[in-house]
Amino acid sequence: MSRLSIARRAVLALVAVCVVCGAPDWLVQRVDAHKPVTSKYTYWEDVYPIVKEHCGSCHAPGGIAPMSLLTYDAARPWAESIRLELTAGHMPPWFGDPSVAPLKDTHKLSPRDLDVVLTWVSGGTPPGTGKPVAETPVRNTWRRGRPDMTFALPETVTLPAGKSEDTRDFVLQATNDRDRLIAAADVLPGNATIVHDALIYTTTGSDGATPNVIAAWVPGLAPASPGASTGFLWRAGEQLAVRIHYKKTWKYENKPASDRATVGLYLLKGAGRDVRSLPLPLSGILVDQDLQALAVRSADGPSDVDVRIAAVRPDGSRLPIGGFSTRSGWDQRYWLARPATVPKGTRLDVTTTGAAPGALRLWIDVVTPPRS
Amino acid sequence: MLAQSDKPTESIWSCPVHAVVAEQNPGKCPICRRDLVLVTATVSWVCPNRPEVERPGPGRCADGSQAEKRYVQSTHANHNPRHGGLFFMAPDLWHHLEGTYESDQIFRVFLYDDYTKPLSPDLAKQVTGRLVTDERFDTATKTTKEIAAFPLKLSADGDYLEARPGRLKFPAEVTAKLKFKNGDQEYRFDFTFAEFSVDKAAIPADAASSLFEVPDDLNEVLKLLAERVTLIGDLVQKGAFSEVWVPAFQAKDLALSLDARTRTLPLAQRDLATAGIERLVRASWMLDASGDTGNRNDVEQAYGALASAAREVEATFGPAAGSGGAR
Repeated sequence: MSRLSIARRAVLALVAVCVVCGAPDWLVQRVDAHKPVTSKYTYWEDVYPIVKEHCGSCHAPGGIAPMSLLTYDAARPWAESIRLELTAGHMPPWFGDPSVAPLKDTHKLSPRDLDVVLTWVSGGTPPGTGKPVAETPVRNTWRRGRPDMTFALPETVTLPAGKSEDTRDFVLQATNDRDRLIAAADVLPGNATIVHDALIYTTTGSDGATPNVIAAWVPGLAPASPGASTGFLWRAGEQLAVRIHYKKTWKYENKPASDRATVGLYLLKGAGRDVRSLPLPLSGILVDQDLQALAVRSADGPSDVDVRIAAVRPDGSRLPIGGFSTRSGWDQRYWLARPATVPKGTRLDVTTTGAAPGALRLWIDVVTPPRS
Repeated sequence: MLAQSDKPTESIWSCPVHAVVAEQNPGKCPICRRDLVLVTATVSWVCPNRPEVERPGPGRCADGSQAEKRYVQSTHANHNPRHGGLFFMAPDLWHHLEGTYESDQIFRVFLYDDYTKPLSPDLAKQVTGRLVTDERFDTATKTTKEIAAFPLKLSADGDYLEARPGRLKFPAEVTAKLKFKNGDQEYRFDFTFAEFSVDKAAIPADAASSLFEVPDDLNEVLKLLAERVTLIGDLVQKGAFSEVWVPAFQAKDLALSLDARTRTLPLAQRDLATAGIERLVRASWMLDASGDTGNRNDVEQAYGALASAAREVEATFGPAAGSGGAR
């Protein structure tokens, strides 16, 4: 053992001891060097399984993300960028706050996985000895199985070389022959590298009509549904439409790119309750009938507004409903793990912290409670 | 595969954050528009259809295609002070610097590159700045007014920048405000000297947290976590930013040990506990990074996030959480 390594072990033994005895100042002052340059975690043994599971649906060849993370050579140059995104909480792009109230389908790295990746990117990015595997391109398939109804966009959309972003609305079906309850909806991009996010909605089609948003789609997440015997009502005579936000990453700048996506609907089998989206002003609202809250959603806000929604019931009790942070371009619906009971006379309170809310709009998705 | 030492190196222009960028000329990063910086990269050649096999030089591949040049940047990172001072990395992630205040009452800034090699004379000449020993924030105008500042000048031998603030009272809190070249953004580096710097061989740190033993007892874990948070607070208060990573990583390891216990908590508490632990992990890494760059605001913000996450964790596992669950 070299003199240096003996010295290191001595210092570390003292560090370990200081935890028990309370850290004396002189010790901490002497350990004034920076973090080690070697990570105990390696890409192939530790990082690859995590990024494959949690990042691989976008960060793979053919995905919306501008880089693959599925080989050592592909991931390594992005180490510093990964560190910034993870420490800021910007990736994975799901911003629900389960500490306010439990949420369904959380899409976060576990604390341990987060630490493994951060240790690797900050600690020398060692490759490991695992056998490199070939990159798996993005699997562009229906994530909930084959839908009951599918609607291809009426035309192919092309972003010309000089345009990097566009938002387009398409009517997928001009009228519905009968009432249908939709359990979930999904988008299958024709070109996954440019379909950034989408809103699937029904509308009467008249000027100023309020769209009924069935799904706020973002890549990488399987479509969620409101739960058993509950769906979004697509009324007879109404249109089905989609708004797609196309965005090129820097990789495709100055190159034309085309897409013709397909929207899929999963219908509720049998009868059920229909979900309504109530606009929720930042000043709050008074609920005038018994309801159950199922989900919360936002649009048009700047990034980093921390939103908390609570129900102040007629008896004065306060029940947290749900919380999330906004992230521009990543608006999505956050489903509560369990429906929250909101009796008539409840006040729904909104609290925002962090960034100023600006033009932020909120909705709460509700159903009428089942008859007891 | 070729050994690292067998490969030639070249200077290329790359982005401090997006190492995938390899340009022959200075400019902006196509991804984030940061200024590109000069870095050293090893060079090898690979065949497009077999990128895992490196070749020592250009030429044709077995399938007749031309081998492509590949640049790989080495990891920089020796952040040990060389002169007994306080060591920081600039927010551009390329420049590094060490500040000393020795018994001759001269404040010195030693400048390094991304390999922690002394900055070349050409680059060192471009660095300008001042040492601020007293400043006040005016809440009315929301600006900081400098009460006492001293120019930082390149020493005769070009080894460091120096300022002569005279005798400072300990703990001496000073700020170096530097531009690495004309037209660049000005960065601030907050130093706190408890005493005069002494040029001694630094004791290299290693994976302190890897040898840190986390106790089995839940109450002991929570107690140690609270102690770490207090210690970090003290270090932040003292301005010992380059030291906060040790207790920050220990706090992280303590919190991660609690993650395995979340399943013993009542259902309603589990998500709350996991969210708190996740925040604490992120905050510890933020503290590590901001401790490197030596900006008091960033360090304090990261510390605030860590302390708040630790409170959340304690609330879910501690006695205040009723039965507390975890046994």
